[in-house]
Amino acid sequence: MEKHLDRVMDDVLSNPGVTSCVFVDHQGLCLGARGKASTECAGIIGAIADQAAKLEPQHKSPIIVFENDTRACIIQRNGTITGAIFKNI
Amino acid sequence: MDRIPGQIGYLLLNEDGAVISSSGDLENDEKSADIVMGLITLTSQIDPDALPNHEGFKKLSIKYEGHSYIICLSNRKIHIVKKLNSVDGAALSV
Amino acid sequence: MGCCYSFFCKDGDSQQRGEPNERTHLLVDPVSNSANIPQYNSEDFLNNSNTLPKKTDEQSALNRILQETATNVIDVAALDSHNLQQHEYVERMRQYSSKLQQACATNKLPVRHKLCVLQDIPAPEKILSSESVSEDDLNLISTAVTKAAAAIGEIKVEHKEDMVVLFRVPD
Repeated sequence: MEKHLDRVMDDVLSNPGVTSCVFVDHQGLCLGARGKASTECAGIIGAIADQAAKLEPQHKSPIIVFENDTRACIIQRNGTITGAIFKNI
Repeated sequence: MDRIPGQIGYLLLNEDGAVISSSGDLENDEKSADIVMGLITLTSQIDPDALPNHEGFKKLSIKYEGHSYIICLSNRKIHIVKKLNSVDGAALSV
Repeated sequence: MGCCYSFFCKDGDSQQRGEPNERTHLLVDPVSNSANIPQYNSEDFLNNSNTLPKKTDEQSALNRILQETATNVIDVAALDSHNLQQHEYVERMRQYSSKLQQACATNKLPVRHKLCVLQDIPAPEKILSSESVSEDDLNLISTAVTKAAAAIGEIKVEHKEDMVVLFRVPD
């Protein structure tokens, strides 16, 4: 059933620098995770996407980027699914 | 008051979320201030496995199609800048 | 909010005395001499003399309640503005600060650890104007989440065999 999702996640991880990715549903439950991330961060990722969307509700969901010197965490929501990618920069 | 290229709004909050100064599109925008405060105080770390050693982030960007919000914490104050996305040949196709 | 229904029925109905009904007056007639004692019909006074002791009991109960309320109520308007003398002021300040010190010493106030995903940096301008993640990365997340949404939409239950089966009981 989840073969397609697995393929999508493997594709994402094949990109250079990407260390992990997580997909979350509208309730904050983890739909899939690959790489070094744990499934427990799903709730936080869902909550971050929800909160950020309140900033401009009339626009499409934004891309949320957390950055520091070495790593970045990129989160975006599409419909009911939220995805997060952790990568080295 | 920070002046960065493309800036169309600026908000400066103290560590409790109270607005210290504001200008441009974000003038007196307490609603956005509250949302941003809610966003950064959700957690102290996103994922302990993906980002070990409790490292925090230095910059938070919220990118929309034409503009973005850039948020950082410095000297216990929260700086929020609303700026237009640069259109020099690299338009965002979001 | 005060209770403003009359405890005593005004009309001598078949209704029991003391039980409010739809004719019970909520407000006491302001013309009457005593605002506390509700009015009775004159017949009641003449006819029911044995109710008088009961009335006194209730009256004294009412008075008691009034007294209690009066002693408990703090009338802010009637307070004198007590101007503190300088030495009293200093004395009280000393007392309060010593009490505070004792309180703080005994219960160590916990340090408020506010959660913040951002770390404190010295130079905001540098960070605010620094280059963001590349456009490739932004495209990556967009396509990834779109494809994932499509993939998850395809997740459905495969109907392999009937869920409801008939148990054939052999004859």
